[in-house]
Amino acid sequence: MMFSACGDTPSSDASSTPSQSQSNTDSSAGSEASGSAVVSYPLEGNPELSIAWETNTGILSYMTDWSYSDFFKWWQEDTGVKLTMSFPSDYSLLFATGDYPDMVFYNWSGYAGGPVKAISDGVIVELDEYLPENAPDYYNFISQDEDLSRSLKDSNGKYYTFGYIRNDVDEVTTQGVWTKADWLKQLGLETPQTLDEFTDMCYRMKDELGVEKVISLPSAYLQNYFGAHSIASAFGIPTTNWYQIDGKVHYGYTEEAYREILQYLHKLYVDGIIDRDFQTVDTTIMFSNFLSGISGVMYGWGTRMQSMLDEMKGQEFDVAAIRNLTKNTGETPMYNGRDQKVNTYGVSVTTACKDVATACKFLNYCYTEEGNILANFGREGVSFDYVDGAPVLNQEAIAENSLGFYAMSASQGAYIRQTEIALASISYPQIIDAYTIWNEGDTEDYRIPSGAGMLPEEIDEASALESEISTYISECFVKFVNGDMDINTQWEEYLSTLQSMNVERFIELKQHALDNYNAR
Amino acid sequence: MTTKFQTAASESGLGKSNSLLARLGRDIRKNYGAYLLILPAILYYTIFCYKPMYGIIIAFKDFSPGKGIFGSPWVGLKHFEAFFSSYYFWRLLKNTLSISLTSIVFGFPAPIIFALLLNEIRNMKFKRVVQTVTYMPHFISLVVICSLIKLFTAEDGIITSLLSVVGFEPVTMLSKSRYFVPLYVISGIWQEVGWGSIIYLSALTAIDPGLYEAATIDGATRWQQTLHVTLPGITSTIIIMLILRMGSVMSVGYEKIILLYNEGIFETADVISTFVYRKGLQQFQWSYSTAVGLFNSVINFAIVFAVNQISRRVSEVSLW
Repeated sequence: MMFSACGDTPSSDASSTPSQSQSNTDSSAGSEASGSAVVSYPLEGNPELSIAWETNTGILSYMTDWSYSDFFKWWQEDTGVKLTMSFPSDYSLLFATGDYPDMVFYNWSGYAGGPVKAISDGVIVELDEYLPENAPDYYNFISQDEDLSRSLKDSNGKYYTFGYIRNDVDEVTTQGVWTKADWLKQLGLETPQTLDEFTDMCYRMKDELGVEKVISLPSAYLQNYFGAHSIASAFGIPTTNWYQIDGKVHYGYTEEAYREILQYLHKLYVDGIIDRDFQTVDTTIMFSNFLSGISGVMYGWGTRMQSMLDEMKGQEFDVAAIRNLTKNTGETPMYNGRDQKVNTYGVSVTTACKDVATACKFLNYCYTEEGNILANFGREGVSFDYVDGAPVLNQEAIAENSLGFYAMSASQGAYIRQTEIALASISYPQIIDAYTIWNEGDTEDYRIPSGAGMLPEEIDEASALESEISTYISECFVKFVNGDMDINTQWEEYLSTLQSMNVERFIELKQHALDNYNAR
Repeated sequence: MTTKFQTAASESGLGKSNSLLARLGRDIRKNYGAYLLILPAILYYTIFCYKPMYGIIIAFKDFSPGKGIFGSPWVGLKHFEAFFSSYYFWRLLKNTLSISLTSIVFGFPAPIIFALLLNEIRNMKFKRVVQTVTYMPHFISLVVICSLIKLFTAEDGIITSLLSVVGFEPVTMLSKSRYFVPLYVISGIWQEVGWGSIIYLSALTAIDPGLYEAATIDGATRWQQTLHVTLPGITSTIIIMLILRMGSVMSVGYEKIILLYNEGIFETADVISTFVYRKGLQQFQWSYSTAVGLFNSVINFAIVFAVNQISRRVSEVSLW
């Protein structure tokens, strides 16, 4: 087993840990632009740390415990830290007990009130004072880019996490709508670009091919993805959820365009295009309906597309991605499912950690040049090889989606994801096409960054408003679509109920959050 | 017996402490077997019912995990006020009561009637088959039961198809709020009727056969025997079961509802316990959901208390 940290450094036996001088050179090379602090690996004194990590369900079908994966072994080897891992099944219980590991990997916007509340609740600590000294590589990388550093701060303007940073988001979008290419061919249709073409496709699938339930998506998908942005551009709004125009916050659910979207969806429901059972459809049913030809429209991620193509190998089954629909041909969709360069995923250090500095040093590793290779590609000779000086995943890592054994890059993590990783393990050209097709959209003009959390003093008010309002909206979405509520006569009632729930104040609070973000 | 007791009493009279603890200690030494038997139950209630109770105080606090239960600031009745003024308060209360009362009205007599019917079966083989078949659903996991319900009541499901023969509109039943309560109650009866009848069947075996003989000699028909011998024979069991059942009027099991409901039918399906689940476990509003849960428990307690009082006056059977 051969191992080397960088393309041009000499290989050494993998059984020995990388020599200290070697990693020294690498990390200082990575941060030569600014900052004087250098952390050398492995760390001295055999520190021990504990970490809670999100379960990687894909990996769990291969091994009982993800911590056995080579990646986590190598990560410990390289940093000299002994890691105790846990995989909580329920984070809200983990947070409520007050019994935390030293570090927690989590999507921090999932914490009610956001990261700033997690800090004031005494779950995690602010990292500002630790980063420059103990995590120079991370700190230098994020502080060189104003947008990056802004989105990694909480609404108090403090760093709270080692974030998941993706360099490739401008180039690929990994989620969207797709349909069956073989059916399109049968019908003699091009992939739809406009809403009319899409509608036409759905009706022809039903009428000419006898497809039972053309759109069989769970109501959450119908509301939050398909209805929210896949068709919204055709009705003149970027999304039915939050968006902003020139810094002014809009809530699509209160706008006239949303009413038209509901009318459209209701018509599809009445005509039997949308599954009559959509309220009880779950993702398992959605997948099996699509695979068995009961439905013809899917919403999902490229990884799912890949597993479908794997499963249907050798059969007459092909997929074609559909971009977000517009009203007219040639228009660019206003919005799409593109990820943000930084979301709120990351590893944060908890209040239970006795040695925050060491935890930061440990987490910093994946942002060093060496660590970045490890996080993205794994080990040379095992999961990747250098081809013309650039790391390329080998068959071992690509096969059976086993990348998760070797690298963090099989899913979210705390590292900088390299562009090629998104495409590296894809073995079907359809998916690469899909990533380009889905990528059409002016999302950045309208998106409210996920880093724009509610102001600390307004969190309680906002979460009380949110839980009431969002429940009501999802309820009414379902009822408007299935006709339990009449869109023509009850739309006003819907709006006035939202008024009585103080939706205006809610929008105002969101505006404060965005203003605060922009001013950071 | 008497002499033994007197000895014990006279012994204790001789300078020995007669405090409660001392007497308890002596009793434990004497009847350690019985105490050993009750020990698991005591431990269960202490660990799982009494110890967690101190956590209730977070209903009156703004709990944040970092500060702990005692460190979090007091906020008085803030969370209760928020719940009572919530848009959903009346709907939750109404749904909880309607699902629960319907379950009791239809679900409570079902196993009694079933037990009476079984009792009349003379062919033992047939009786055993019926019993086994009706017990079975009780042992099926709730998740599976709910998947079955969803499958059978879908637009093209077997139950919907059968009903549409007699003029029922073929819709996904779980997408219409008006069908939720019947579905919930009927599937509940189907799952539990066999199991629930066991206790009544055992009560039936305790009835003196001589009573039936006497009734037959007096010329009572089977129906009259049921009315005047069988039913009075199991009345006390029925009443105890009813009081126990009334204690859970407000605690509708959230598991089954969560597995069955969807946003479209929240109007009839969303109950207090599912609301607490969403608030507490999904939105991290621990204090608020504790307050709602406490409200629920208080009402439950009040109902048990009331039913017990009524029962004591009317039938002289009561829990305490």
